[in-house]
Amino acid sequence: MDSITRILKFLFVTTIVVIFSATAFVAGFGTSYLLAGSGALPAWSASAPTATPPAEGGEEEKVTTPTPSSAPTPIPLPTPANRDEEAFQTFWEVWDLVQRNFYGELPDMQKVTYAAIHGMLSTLDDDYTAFIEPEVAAVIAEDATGEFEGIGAFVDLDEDGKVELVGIFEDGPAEKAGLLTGDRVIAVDGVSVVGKTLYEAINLIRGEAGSDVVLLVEREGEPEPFEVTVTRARLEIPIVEVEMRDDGVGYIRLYEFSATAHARMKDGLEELLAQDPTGIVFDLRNNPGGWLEQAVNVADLFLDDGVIVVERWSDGREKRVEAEPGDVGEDVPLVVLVNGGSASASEIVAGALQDRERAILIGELTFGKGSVQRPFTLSDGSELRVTSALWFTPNDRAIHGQGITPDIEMPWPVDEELEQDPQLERAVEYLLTGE
Amino acid sequence: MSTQHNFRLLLGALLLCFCLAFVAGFGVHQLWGQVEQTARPAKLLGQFWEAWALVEEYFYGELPPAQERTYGAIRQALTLLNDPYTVFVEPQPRELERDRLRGAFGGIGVALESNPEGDILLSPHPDSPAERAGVVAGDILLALDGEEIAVGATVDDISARLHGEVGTPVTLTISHPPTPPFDLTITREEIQVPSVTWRMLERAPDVGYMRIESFTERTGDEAAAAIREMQAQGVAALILDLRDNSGGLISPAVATVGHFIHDGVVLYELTRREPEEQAVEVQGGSIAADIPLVVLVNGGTASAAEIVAGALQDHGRAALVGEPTFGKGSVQLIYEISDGSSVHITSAVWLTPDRKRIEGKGLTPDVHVVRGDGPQDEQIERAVMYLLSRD
Repeated sequence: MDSITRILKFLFVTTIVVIFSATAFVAGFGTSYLLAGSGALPAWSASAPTATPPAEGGEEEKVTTPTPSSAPTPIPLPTPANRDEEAFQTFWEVWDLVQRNFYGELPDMQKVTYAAIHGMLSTLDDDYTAFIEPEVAAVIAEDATGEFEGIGAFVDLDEDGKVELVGIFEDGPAEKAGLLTGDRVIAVDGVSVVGKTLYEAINLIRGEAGSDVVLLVEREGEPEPFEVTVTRARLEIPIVEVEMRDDGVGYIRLYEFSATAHARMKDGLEELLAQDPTGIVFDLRNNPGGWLEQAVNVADLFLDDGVIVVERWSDGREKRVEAEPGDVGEDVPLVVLVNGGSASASEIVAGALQDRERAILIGELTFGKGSVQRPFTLSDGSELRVTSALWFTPNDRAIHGQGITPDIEMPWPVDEELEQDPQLERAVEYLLTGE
Repeated sequence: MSTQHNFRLLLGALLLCFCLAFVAGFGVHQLWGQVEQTARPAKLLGQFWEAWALVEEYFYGELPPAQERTYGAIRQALTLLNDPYTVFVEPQPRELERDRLRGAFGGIGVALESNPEGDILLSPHPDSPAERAGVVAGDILLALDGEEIAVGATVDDISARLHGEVGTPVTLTISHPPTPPFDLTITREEIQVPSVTWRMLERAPDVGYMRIESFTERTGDEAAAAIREMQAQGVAALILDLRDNSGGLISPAVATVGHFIHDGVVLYELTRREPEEQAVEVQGGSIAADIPLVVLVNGGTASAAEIVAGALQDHGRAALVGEPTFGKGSVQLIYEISDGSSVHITSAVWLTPDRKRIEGKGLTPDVHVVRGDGPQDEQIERAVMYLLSRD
């Protein structure tokens, strides 16, 4: 009897130990599985997503071209769902076969990754959700601050892949070094730029203020390329143009809503208002947009209170952004010039000033981009912009695909040699005569 | 021993077991993951999944299904290879592709055409299941299996849905004014698409003319049957027309060469991994090794058709008459993917028996002659003259 009890006891204990161990084994396995993200696809487990949006909340959202900003605050990323892994298995089947069988050279996995991202995004059917590779993102990010360290020239690639200077900053290093518009850079510090992308070339030309860069330059009329040494400087990208006209009307133009747009608009307005203008023409023609926050602040310069813009997400949530009183431009008579190149942030400002009857709009129908892109910096410095919301004017007008119709339509005359700017003249006339 | 002591011992042992087993489980999974990773050396960088997750979380519009996004990624990744022949084929076009290469499919035997109004017009093949069921040329297809034909549906879309396993039914809703729309349920049968046609020429009755449209699985057998029938009619010389034959499968192309030469190399393959060229040969079994032969080629003669023309030319077996060929000297492997799509991968280049590389150059005809705009096919004329003047 006693031995049976002991055997039973032994069996009981053994069973418990086995069950316990098995449970613990599974738990350990499961923990590892969960930590890795997935056991089925190493591609997933290898990459704990670490992308970081520039900031929490909607303040840093952007409404077109320019880019990033201040210190990124990491937020936890959602983990892709399992069904996505299954669907993506197709990619691996295909790529494994390619690796095993393709006759030619295989691209490196970074190129494949970027191509896969571009391809994935292309199926979203949204031109504004975009992936920007690191070297381009770096240049755009610097530009968006409104300042950069370089030689002070606008550049573009010519047909032969040479970097052509298409504009030179007044008093900038390039001008001081004797560079001219039309000069073509073929090498930077001994490195050929022919065949590189524009942004790769820009990254080579830019550098710390005070440092020297040696450009190998081709110039029309010069038989041989020659070297020019330029000392880089910290430069402001001119985004605001201010003019006090003889007829008493102030003119202020904003080229884009980059990070310093509000500050420079404020400076420009103060300069004009000090001269007591009859009214102000605010020119937003061909302004492609920029930061939402800058658009709101620029609009606020002219508005004392009330709604500036309504941002609405696909789940129906919305955010109403309101003006605060106490800005420089709240009382001066105002006309805003717009055209088909006024997009996004420009349309937010124009739409708010029109709906709130703070200004009248003169010119042409605006572009019609009413979506907000949220920018994210990915772990390798590349950038992803995701269309995340639509915005609406204070009177709840949708802009996307429609644009804003000016109060006074004034098309740009075609096929005419123009001595003056007819849209600007119409704006001045309105401010002087009231009609 | 007190019970309490016993209990403590048991508890301690259990705890130890638990810890050990936990660590073991953890470790096994980690190792397992490593094994898997080495088995699959390439992986996308993390940015892909970052982007994927961000889009899922924040994108305003409606996201296409994960599968479609995956296909987008595949297509774009393949463009990096800079090879127009390495392509991804989605499941529906893949089905049509498979049917095309097979030279036969499960279907109802009806030609489709879309008219300017966007209607899909039917036209049954003679003695096809469609004709037997009562489909008449000009009938308009309104719905398939109860599903209305979507506006903008292409002939290929519909065609893919009509294809299916032999023996399965498909229901067509048909408009045939003035009769009100009615349903026809038709059982799919094996529909064959012949790739070889032949006839004896009228102006030279002992000259046979055989045309190969493309190289399907059945082309080798079809060509053999055609040759035998022509031989039964006393064929003394043969014209093989490969004009506008854009290729197809390699093995029926090799088999076709094998009808005309006893043995020897048809092509050499060069792959990236094998340093040595691989010879593809035919051995015996030719059924028309001696009949005088001319091959017609033009700029539309490509790939597998160039293999046939190049081999017959290099072996001195046939003269090429016509125009320079397309020049596609690469071989694609077609792999079916588990979701029903397929991928074509350029895996090799091939050389003719004399080791000519034809990529981008094509084959040069022995007798250069253009087709001409007249009603008469100048290339066939010249081929006949060539064959008759040989004697």
